[in-house]
Amino acid sequence: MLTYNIHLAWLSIKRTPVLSALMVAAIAIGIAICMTILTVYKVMANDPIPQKSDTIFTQTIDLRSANPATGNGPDLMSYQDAQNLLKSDIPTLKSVHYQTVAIIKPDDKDIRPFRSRVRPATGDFFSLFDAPFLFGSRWSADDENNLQQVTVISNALNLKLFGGQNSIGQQIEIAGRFFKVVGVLDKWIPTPRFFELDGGVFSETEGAFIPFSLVPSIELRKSGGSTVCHVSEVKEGWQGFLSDECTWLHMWVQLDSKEQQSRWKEHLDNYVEQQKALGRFPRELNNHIHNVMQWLEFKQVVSNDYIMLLGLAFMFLGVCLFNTIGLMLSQSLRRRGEVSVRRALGGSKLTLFYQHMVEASVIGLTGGIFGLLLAQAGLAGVRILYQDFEVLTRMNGQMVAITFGLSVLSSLLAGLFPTWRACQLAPAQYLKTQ
Amino acid sequence: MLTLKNVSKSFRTDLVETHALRSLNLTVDEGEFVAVTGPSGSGKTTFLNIAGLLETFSSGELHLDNMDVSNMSDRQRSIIRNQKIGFIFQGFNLIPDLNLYENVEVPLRYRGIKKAERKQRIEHALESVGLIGRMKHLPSQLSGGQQQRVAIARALSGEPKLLLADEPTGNLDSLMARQVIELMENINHDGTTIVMVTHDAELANRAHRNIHIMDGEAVDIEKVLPVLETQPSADFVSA
Repeated sequence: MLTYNIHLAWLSIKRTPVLSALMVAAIAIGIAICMTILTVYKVMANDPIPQKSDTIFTQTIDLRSANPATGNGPDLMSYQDAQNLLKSDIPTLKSVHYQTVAIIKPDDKDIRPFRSRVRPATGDFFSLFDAPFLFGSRWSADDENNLQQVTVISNALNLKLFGGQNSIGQQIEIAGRFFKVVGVLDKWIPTPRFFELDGGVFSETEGAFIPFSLVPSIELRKSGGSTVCHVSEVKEGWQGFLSDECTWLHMWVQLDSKEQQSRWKEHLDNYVEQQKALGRFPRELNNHIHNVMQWLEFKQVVSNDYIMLLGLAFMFLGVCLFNTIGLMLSQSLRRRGEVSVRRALGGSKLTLFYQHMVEASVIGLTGGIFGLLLAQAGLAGVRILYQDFEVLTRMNGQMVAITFGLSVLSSLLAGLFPTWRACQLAPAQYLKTQ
Repeated sequence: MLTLKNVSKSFRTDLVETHALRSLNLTVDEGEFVAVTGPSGSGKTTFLNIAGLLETFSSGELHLDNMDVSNMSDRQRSIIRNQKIGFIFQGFNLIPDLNLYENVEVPLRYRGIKKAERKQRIEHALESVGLIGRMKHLPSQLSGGQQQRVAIARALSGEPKLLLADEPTGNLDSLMARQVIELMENINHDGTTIVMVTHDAELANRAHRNIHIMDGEAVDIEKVLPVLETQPSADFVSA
């Protein structure tokens, strides 16, 4: 019966092409607007590391001076605190890291030196964030302790410098020093880039990662985001900066159990209390730990404005649906005669309801196809306007399925009232006048 | 085959109550060909719609093929309409987008008949009305008489026990009307009970029995028909 009803739907569309085209257009436009906004929203609100988003945490400890007394504490950590907290054995994994920019000079003289984002990080970084390796692996603890100049490079950088070949053991020059490649990451774009919300939330990962232990010897200033020094006078030079009360580092830890989480929080509190005794941390205890999704929410990765925009898009879809209802009502008025004949020939209300709902679905699916094309155009428009939104404007299979699902659901909702009315006709009512 | 006991039908508006049928009593036996006549507005079509389960009634009883169908649900009435009743309308009521084959197929689809049997039934029905060669044509490509023959084929395809016809020749010229009535006579001869509403005296005379409806009440004029034939009365045979 489904194929028969699809055939009838097609005949009906052919009979009233203008009306049908208007219905398809109304649904397509509504769906396109909704899906454009929803696609961006879905990526913004995405869980970037679902397999462990509730077991990895970042923390805030309030290093600020006593005034002003209001507002949130810093999101970042000072070098001194990071080094101290790294000594704890409570977390299963822990990593301190930050983002910088350095000149990378390839061996290949045909490739000109270029600027690339570089992330100094402690070695647990890769296992903490489940970064996948294409070749090699992370550097060892010995490499880190012995200040070896080793690097893990991204898939994109490996492609650029070595044509995608296994480059383990090769050397590249980063910030004027030679680094040996020990690992090449596979394609890895956690979205949003939760561990670096300050410098390109939705951008790709950096080109190279180098051991954090090299930071004191290589002056690579943080790039992107804020570095705040909570002192009236800052110390001179790079070493002075590292020992100053300046917050600029990210620290993430893996805490697998509730017990570990409370121990870590307790450890943070004890640490701050101890530091207070040394004259630091003038404020009252203000320590917090956040798992990934809590952190994204706390940092308002999806802003309230955008949520409002999403609401408006769905309201617009509602307006389109009302238009579609009007058009469907108009179509059902034209078809009263046929409905009466079908009822006379033995079609029950339910049978006719099903027939008309299939027709509404066909309209919805067609609207979905056009809506999908329009949404792609809309997303392309967003890409042109905001180049940073490249990652956000990719519609995956799930979003395509949602597009069609929403289209059919919308058309079914729009078709409910007109179909119900058509099925309420007394069969005899329009037989004489047909 | 068809029995109406004290069937009344009234339409109520804010100001007026109109009685379309008043305690109508009527019986049609199996195999009969009955013509229902009466002036316009007398309730003929209302009677036919009630007999065809297309309309409900205010009071009384309706029996069809030994079943009390008075209080059946919409779904049950649809099934009875589909399985036991065939309709022929004055305006043919073919579905314009469907070709002849598909038009005849509609009631069979609702009955859930398998494709092969549907095909056989449709071809047989179209053959019996002489339109097998045009089954891929649309109704708009046929004359009025041919369209009515398709409507008859549609009614026949379901092999109904009761065929209800509402002015089946009303929109046809005399030649085509004759062809249609001859077709109906053949159908009746094959055992199908026919109840036909008509204004046409000649058509009514070809039925086994005439029932005259006047102001929603029925008068069986079988017995006086021979008298009418010699002394026609406008009251009985014209609208």
